[in-house]
Amino acid sequence: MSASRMGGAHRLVLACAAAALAACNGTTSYLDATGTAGREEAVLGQWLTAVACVVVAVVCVAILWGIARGRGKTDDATGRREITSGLNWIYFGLAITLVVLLATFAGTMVTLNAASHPPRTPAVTLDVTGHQWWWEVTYHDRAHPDAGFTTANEVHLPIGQPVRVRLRSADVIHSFWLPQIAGKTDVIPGQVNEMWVEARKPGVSRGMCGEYCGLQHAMMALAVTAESPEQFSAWAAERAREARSPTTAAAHSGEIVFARSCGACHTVMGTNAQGRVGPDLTHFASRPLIGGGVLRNDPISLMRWITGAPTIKEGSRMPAIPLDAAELTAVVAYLQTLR
Amino acid sequence: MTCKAHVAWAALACAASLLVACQRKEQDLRGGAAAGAPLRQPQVNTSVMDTTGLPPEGALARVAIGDLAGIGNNTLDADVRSPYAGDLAAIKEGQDLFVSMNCAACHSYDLKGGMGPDLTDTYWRYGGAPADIYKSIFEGRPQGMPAWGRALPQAMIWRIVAYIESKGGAFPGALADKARQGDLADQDTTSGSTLKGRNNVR
Amino acid sequence: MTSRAFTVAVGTIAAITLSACGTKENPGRKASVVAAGSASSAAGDVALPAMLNRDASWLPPDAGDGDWLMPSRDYGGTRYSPLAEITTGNADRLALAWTFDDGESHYGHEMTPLVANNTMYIVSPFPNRAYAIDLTEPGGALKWKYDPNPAPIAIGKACCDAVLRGAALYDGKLIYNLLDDHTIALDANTGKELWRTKMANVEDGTTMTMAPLVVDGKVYVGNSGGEMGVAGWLAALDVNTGKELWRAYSVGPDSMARIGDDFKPFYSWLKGKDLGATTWPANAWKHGAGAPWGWVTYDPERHWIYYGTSNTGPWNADQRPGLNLWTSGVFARKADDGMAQWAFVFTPHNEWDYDGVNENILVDLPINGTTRKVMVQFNRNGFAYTIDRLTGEVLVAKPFGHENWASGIDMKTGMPIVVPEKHTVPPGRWVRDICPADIGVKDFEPSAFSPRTGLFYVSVQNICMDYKGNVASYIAGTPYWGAQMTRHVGPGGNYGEFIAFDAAKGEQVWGIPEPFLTYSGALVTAGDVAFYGTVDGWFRAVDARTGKILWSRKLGSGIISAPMSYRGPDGHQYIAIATGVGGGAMTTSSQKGFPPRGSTYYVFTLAQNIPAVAPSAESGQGGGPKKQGGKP
Repeated sequence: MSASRMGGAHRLVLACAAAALAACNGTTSYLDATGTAGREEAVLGQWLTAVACVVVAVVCVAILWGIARGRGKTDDATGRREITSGLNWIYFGLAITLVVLLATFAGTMVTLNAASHPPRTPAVTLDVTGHQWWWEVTYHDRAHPDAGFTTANEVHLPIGQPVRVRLRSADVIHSFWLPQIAGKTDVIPGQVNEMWVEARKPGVSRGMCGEYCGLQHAMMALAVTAESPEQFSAWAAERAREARSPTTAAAHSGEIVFARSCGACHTVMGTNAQGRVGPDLTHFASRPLIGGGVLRNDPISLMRWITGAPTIKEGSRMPAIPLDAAELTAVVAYLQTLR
Repeated sequence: MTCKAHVAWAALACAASLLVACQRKEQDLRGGAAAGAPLRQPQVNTSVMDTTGLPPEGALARVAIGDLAGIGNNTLDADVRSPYAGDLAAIKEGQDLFVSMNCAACHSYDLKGGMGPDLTDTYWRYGGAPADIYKSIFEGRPQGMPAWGRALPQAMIWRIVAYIESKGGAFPGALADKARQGDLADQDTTSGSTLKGRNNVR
Repeated sequence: MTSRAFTVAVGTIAAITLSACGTKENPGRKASVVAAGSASSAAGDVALPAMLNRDASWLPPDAGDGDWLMPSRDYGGTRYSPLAEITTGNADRLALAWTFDDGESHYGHEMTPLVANNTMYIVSPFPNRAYAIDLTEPGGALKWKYDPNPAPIAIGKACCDAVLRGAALYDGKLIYNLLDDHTIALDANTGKELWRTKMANVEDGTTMTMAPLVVDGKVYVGNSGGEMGVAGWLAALDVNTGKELWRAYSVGPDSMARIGDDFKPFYSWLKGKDLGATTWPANAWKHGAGAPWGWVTYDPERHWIYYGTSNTGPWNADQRPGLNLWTSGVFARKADDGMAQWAFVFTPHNEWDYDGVNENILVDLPINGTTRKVMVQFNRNGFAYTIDRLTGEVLVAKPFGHENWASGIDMKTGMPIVVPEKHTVPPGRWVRDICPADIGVKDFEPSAFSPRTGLFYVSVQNICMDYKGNVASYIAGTPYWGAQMTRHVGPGGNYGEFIAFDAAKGEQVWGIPEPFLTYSGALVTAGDVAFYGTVDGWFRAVDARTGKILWSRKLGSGIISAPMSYRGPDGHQYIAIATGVGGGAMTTSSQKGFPPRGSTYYVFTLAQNIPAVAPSAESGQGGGPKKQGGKP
């Protein structure tokens, strides 16, 4: 009997450990977070998990020991059972619980406080607008408005510098979540929510929407790149630049088709396409995914997306665009020049 | 159940949940070797999103703006009906397009007109049947109405038409040959809509 | 001064001016004749001998005091007539002399008729026909008419009615703009087209509605389209050939805005390189507007032109963080090469459509004891700015009507102190009761200045708005706007008021409230009579010193143009006004009693000057005063 009971407890502990480890694969685990706030929250999470596991283990052990120990000895003479007072154990247990809880509480408060205020005044501000189902990201530079620009579904962060994020919704409630960097903040229509993020380690990770917002809630991926401040400045300067004029004939005719058939909804800076219904495509070719994550950004997928977006991403506001084969080839050629 | 069984079930449940977690799809954002196929989508009726049910391209080119010389009747094809009339979801999308394509800026957010004419009354210079409204949007008109036919897909223009229809001024297609300015001012003229299509009093 | 002394002074002045009437025309007679007796008398008046002694360089060539060759009569923009036959004593006897109808009652009439060589010149709203009326013929006879046939597509690109604000006469040419972006010159005698220059593509949403300024061989014209996402520009054309000499943009880098080393703005926030581009998100300035659709004035002492720029595009300011220079501001430029000398921006990062295009009247005013050369603008935003026209320093900036969006102007920087609740960003929510509404405390309707009283005569608007912004896409040929509004009347319930304002002190002297909008320009004469009209069609003559209404006449439609005064061939003083409501006044068209459209020009004179007997058909000449021929 003891063997299987021990086996059960052993399995539980293993299960807990496995759970922690299993969450650690992939790039969207908050336990893997490297950002300042994310790291603190991950540490808190790990502490709480550890405490919980220990508590469960201790309680299990205590229960099992209580079961194993059985009842108190029966006095053969009187038939009455000896009652061993467990009050000491209760005091002991309470004391430990209180200490642990207080420590956890203190730790939580410290973490929440650290996560709510950036360590330094943020130099960079992002205005993020959640749409169904894509993220509009605008970088602001208060001192140099012309260094500001808009992009979509991608966020770059300079390492070691806090970034202020202002969140707005264009339609329903979303939640802005960069699991590797920081915790979630809801994006609520009618108000502007503020948060801050700070990356600590270079790398690429994935952001997503953390609040169910409709059919394609899962297809709102953000490409998050944390890089050195110099690389970040270079990237920002590049993004603020308008699109270069196409050099090949195909791309040139694609530019004309684009301005005519896509420009009412999309923007490519430096051209007549200045629509704001859909994502800004000025540097579209340097983004890895299309449509918030439904497809990879390659020519075939792009053609499928342009001609059949409603069947690929059900409910998307991107309609099926009626272009003939020549126009389609030209537009795709043009889009690929938008680095 | 015995305690042993409880523990066993709990462990099983734990393991099961872990195994499920391990099935998560890897998303490679570096554009590496991950598959490019779209994720499996739930099967949903997509008929409202596709282009079947719309008049064929070019059919409306045969619809005349003016009266036909020699015959006196406009032979608007009665089959050219408004595909989204009464479809509330499409009308809502048409309303969003009406604002985002800057129609509201010329025709005003309540469609009562400003730089452009009133779209809620029954006076239409170029015809008030849905097909005529579609043509006016698609082709543009001489006093500054831009031509949207190459900028917007058919389906989006028809959604805008459905929205305008829902505001009460449009005429049913079958009455198009009678629907010159003011001819039907004293009749309910809206097709399929619960709104009365009288001249709106300002 | 006592009222008796006042009466004596006025009587003396009247006597002097009346004695000047009835004599042969003396070309270039200066208004200085009346200077001697014009020292200030009634309370609030200021003695301005410098203003009264302005020489002929402030007028177009060959302009006599009975002429009106440009919308403001003089290059300084005063809209002051030196004629004094009509006085405060006899203005109640004004009567209708004749009328003319240009037949274009679809659109509002914002034009001031011009008179030279005993001919009146009129240009109509779209389709911008020109008419010359021979004033020597009884009732005015049509001498020639011209139809330029502008493209109708322009009608749908004009935000605020297919209007035209006037023309200019220069060297025997009548010069004006067509709605579809052409500037044309006609031979004033024959009506033949001399040249036509295309200035922009109307399909992109650009139109032209302003009246050109013509001086020193150059024609200055600017575009309209602040709601259409244009880039605003002012260009100079050669008056003889129509060839474009230069074009100065209101947005963009210094090379486009014609800003060079001689640019010396007064305030530090206006100093820097390429501010017309760097105060915008990348490339946003290309559709940032700043269109100069209002009035251009000219200082012949320094040879500088002054003009304002429109609101910023789009209205939804959320899309364009930054100060958005040089929209909603004013430029002082050298007239010959257009290089900017200084600039000032009234409403940086404009969130409410408060354009800067209103007239900049160039006067010399005593401020704190010294006479300063200033320009005065009654801005859309509700503040009357008195600015040193040589340096761009704001000397006085006080409200001249009801406004609640700013608690004042910070005199250290010239910037408005915005009331936080009146910000319209972030968009997507209603902001209630912003005063003034988008059309401002004063729209383009030009004010007048009397050198005799030292006061400005201004049509003021008392109108407020609820405003909701939304994201706007730029789609060429469609509005780049992003705002919904409803408007309502301001406190007091009167949409309009005609006021006299002392711009040296920043104070109103008197005001005449009106139930309907006062959207007309003003005229003030040497007889100390000021004229204005209301949107329901009342045309009034008032005492320029006291504001007492002397005479009113209800005309066929609302009045949104400026009146003018001329001396007819018979030597008598006439007042002419165009009627035809439209333009921005249509924002109040649901007001009970709002008039229909119209297209009639009315000419008034003193009743005693109107022939008692109609001319007979054979002689073609009537009884009445002897006609005075000859050139002005």
